[in-house]
Amino acid sequence: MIVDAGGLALPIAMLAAAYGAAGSLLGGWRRVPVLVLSARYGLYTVPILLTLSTAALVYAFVTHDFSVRYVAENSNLAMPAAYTWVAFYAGNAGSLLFIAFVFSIISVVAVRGLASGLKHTAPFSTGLIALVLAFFLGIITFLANPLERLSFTPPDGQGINPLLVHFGMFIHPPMQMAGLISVALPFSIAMGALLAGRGGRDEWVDIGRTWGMISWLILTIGLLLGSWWAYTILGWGGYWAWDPVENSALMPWLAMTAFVHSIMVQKRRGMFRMWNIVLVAVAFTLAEMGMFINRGGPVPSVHSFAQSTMGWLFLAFMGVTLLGSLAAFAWRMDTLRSREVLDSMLSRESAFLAQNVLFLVVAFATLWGTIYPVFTEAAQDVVITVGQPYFDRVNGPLLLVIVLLMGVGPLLPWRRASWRRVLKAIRVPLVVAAATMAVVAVAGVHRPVALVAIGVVALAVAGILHEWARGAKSRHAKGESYPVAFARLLGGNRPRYGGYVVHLAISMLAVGAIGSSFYEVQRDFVMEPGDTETLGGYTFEYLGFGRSEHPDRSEVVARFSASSGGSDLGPMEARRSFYHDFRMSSTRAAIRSTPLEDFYIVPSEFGENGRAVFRVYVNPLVWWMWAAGPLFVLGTLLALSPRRERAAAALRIPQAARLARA
Amino acid sequence: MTVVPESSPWLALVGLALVAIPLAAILYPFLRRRGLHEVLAESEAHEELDRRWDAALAGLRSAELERAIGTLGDEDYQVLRDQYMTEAAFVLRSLEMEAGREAELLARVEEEIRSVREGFLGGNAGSEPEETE
Repeated sequence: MIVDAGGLALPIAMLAAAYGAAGSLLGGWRRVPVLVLSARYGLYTVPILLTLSTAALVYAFVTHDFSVRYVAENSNLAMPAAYTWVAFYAGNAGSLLFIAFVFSIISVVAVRGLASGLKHTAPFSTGLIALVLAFFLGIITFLANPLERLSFTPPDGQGINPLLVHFGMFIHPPMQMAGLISVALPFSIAMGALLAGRGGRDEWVDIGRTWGMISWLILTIGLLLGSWWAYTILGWGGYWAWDPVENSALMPWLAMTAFVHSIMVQKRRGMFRMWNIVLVAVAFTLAEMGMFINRGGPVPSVHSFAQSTMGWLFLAFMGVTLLGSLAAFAWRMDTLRSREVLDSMLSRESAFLAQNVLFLVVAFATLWGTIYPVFTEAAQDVVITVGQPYFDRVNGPLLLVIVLLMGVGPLLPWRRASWRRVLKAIRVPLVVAAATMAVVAVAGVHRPVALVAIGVVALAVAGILHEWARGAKSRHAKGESYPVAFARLLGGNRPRYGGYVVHLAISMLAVGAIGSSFYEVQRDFVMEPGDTETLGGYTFEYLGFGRSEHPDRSEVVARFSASSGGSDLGPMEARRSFYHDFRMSSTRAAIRSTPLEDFYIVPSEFGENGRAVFRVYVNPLVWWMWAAGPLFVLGTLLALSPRRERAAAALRIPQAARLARA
Repeated sequence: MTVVPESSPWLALVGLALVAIPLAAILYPFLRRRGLHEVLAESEAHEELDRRWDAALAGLRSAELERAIGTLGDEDYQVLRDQYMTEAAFVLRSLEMEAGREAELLARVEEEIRSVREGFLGGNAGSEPEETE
């Protein structure tokens, strides 16, 4: 009964969303307020209905109702109850319901904000949001209903994909899916303003920036957790392989990163109006491409988690988005003229523009590498994939220049600067960068590319810390303690210093990428119990292994004791599991992580008498990548935190003046 | 192969209840037209001017900050300051401000900017610098 009720709620939710789209767009177009309001209220009911469908699916999982096809395909009696959360989105239909449910909730929040703040734009933005929601609900209702029943009830289910049985899977896929779909919000807000003929009024910028940053943060967390999952469970010693699914998440992130920067230029200078519309349209198109690749797209991937043939529907939706955006842009282009021009090439907005272009170049280079196999198959009837060297060679230098701009850009003032002042401002960071390069060179880093990369990161970090130090010192000189001075400095300029915190997090990511890319040590060892080996300053003894049988898998656990520089690292365990139903193996690396480096053991194969092959890595500085995660969250929240009412109200002079005149 | 859920009176009732939720929400505005003035109401004539005013003030604050931390020299600061003050004056003129009142408001802007500068340099907790990006 509960499951069937949840199933009934799906087509009703689809119709409510479709009405929300049609009513909003038509009401906005024909200026019929009652229709706009009715459509909005209809949209508000979608999360209520989807809550019922979601609860019904959870109920089916918890009660092991294997008459529900999706439950039978993605769980079994042996699955721990905690993995119900993961099983919910482990397959295509469930993941689509998850996306629709999450999107319906954040849509209502966004639409409420739009309705109260942007009365002319809101009907069009709401209509587009509802249209995206209706598309997903249409697919769920007609092609991928997770509450569809089987004609019989199997005694047990197939179980959950073993690669998903990992802590990272509790957060990474939901974040990734929510991140990709949330790009629809800034897109709809911007396109709604364009359709309403108000793209040039900049009234959509504040709310567009807010949702752009929220979307960016969700995507960032998803990417980081995905990398961490790959690092610990895929067992190849790395965290990023330029796989199509990884790339499909990275590309919209790159476009959104460009967007959240350039939208500030529009907010501050009334410039880049056309550019921002293009950026957010590109970002949403790339997000749709991500969903397409995830759902049975044409490029091979090691971890498309939900293969299906409906990917082509997403491709069609992507095409409609792209063509529709182009048509709207051409139609309303005359409303997007900026009132300002670039005053100087030596200014913060110029740095933003250069960095924006580079982000897009990296995104399109990644896109080209990702879809290259499709072209080779069409042209030569043979699938040729481009590997990591292509991406490293093309994107590596570009990303380094972006980090350089990240370091120098914030040191430039708006509008214009003089070379003399800029050189003065970057003098200290330059000295710090040079000193850092000298120190690491003495410490043994001799590769020129690595040295330059370290210098660029040091420049970026030093620029931020130098500004903080000067600001805090100035306040301290007037009597504030250093902690209070620093806190007030950050609190007084939240968008700016929130951005700086995020830049620090990016620097930490760069440090991890530089260390692990240039100085990873890897070696295979054939060992028998009792054997001791060394690698990169680590000594480790293979103590033996134990086999165990579980309802869903056979598992082998290898035990080690390890030490480094005379200090004991404690016991380490690396495991390899074979899931019978899926005919799939999964590994879990043994990792000892420090800020300096990771010692990483992964089992390759086990033979007779305990003899086994292990691949062992020493990965420098990877710890910094995972440590960057909380800083990303902190910085973005700081940048998004609201203005203090007292200060914001202090300069509301035109309103006061108008009141005085009245 | 799939099966259609067995129809039962209870399920039919649940279906009707579910349909009633969006239907009630959709029909509500048609049945009760109060409050519709909020929807699609004409935008305030001064919204765009407000944004330009805010942008000019944010620019002034930012220029103050850049000057205080040393990335902006006196000459460049003066150029930027003139540009932003011109923008602010344009907004005030667009509001058809009387000349005396406009001068008074611009003086208040100057005063606020001064307090921002002092706030950044410390010692005046009551007038911290406003957000500038």
